[in-house]
Amino acid sequence: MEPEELKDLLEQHHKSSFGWAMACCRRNPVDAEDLLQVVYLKVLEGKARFEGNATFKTWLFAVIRKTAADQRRKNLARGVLTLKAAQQWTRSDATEYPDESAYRAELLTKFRHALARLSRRQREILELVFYHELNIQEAAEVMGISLGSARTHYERGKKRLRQLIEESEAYESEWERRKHPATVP
Amino acid sequence: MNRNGKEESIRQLFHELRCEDQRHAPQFGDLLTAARNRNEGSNIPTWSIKFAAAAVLCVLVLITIRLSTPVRPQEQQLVPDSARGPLASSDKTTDVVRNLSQPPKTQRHPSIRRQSRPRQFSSSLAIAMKALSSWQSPTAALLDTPQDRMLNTLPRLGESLRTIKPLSPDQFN
Repeated sequence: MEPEELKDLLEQHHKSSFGWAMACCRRNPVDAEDLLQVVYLKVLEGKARFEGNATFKTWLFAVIRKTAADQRRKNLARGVLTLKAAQQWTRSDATEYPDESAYRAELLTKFRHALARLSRRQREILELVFYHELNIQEAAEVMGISLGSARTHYERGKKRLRQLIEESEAYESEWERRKHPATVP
Repeated sequence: MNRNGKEESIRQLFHELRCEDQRHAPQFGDLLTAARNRNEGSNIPTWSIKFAAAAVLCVLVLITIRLSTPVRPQEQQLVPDSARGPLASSDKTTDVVRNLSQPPKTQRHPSIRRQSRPRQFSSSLAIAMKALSSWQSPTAALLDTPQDRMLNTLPRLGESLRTIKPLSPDQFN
């Protein structure tokens, strides 16, 4: 495939690629940008080649996922960088998106926290299915696992996420009841 | 809320998340330019860092080898006396003792060249022997008399006892 054609395809999938990179970097926008830079270079320099065995989106997502795993391994090897990344993450989590309404921001923050409590595979498959609207077969291709395994992670992940959201809601109502005992029936 | 309702709410939350991410996604062109700049900028430092690390490693290995190799006494012997300064003549006895305490060079097997313990022992032995051979009592000077020279030397023909110069106290030492 020609470099210009590859560049067009990358541009076409850029926004969804960024979303998937965010998912692979535990929703840290700085790390997600770094990851995408590395991935784009890989693709344009021919280090990762699209053979046409899957759709371009599926292949690109698999490259992003694999590169993220490599970056994680590198960061684990360098403990200082991991610490730096954690600090960046905390900072960005606290200050990002100031224009959102308070309710929406709170809702999404809770949802992000619930997602973060899932296992990596459960989180990834739920993101691929619900966020990127891939089917389970495509999600399994991106993750490099079998269809059966993907189904298991999907079902367990969904169940666990529902449970975490319910726990969060229950905790909130309990908190409200204790805070205002007269108003809550 | 039933199961389908929950699933729909999850889908809705993911949709919200996607909208939010897409709003804050960087421009494709900017990201690509940054990636290319980063790649160009990082080529030379990576190469030079590796080269510098290899050079430092080589120097460390050389220093370690140099420090772990003991100095051989034979190497010291090969230096000519004239190059060793005014004390060279007094070290001759030491060299003789050292030669005696070590086996001849031709008898040594190449595999035992790096044994440092016997060599250290022989050099310390040589120092001890030198100290013993040159030892003098601190009170030996008290036994010297002005007539010692007269008694210990033979007068030459035609020389009178009167012509023998009296010894000054400095000459006792």
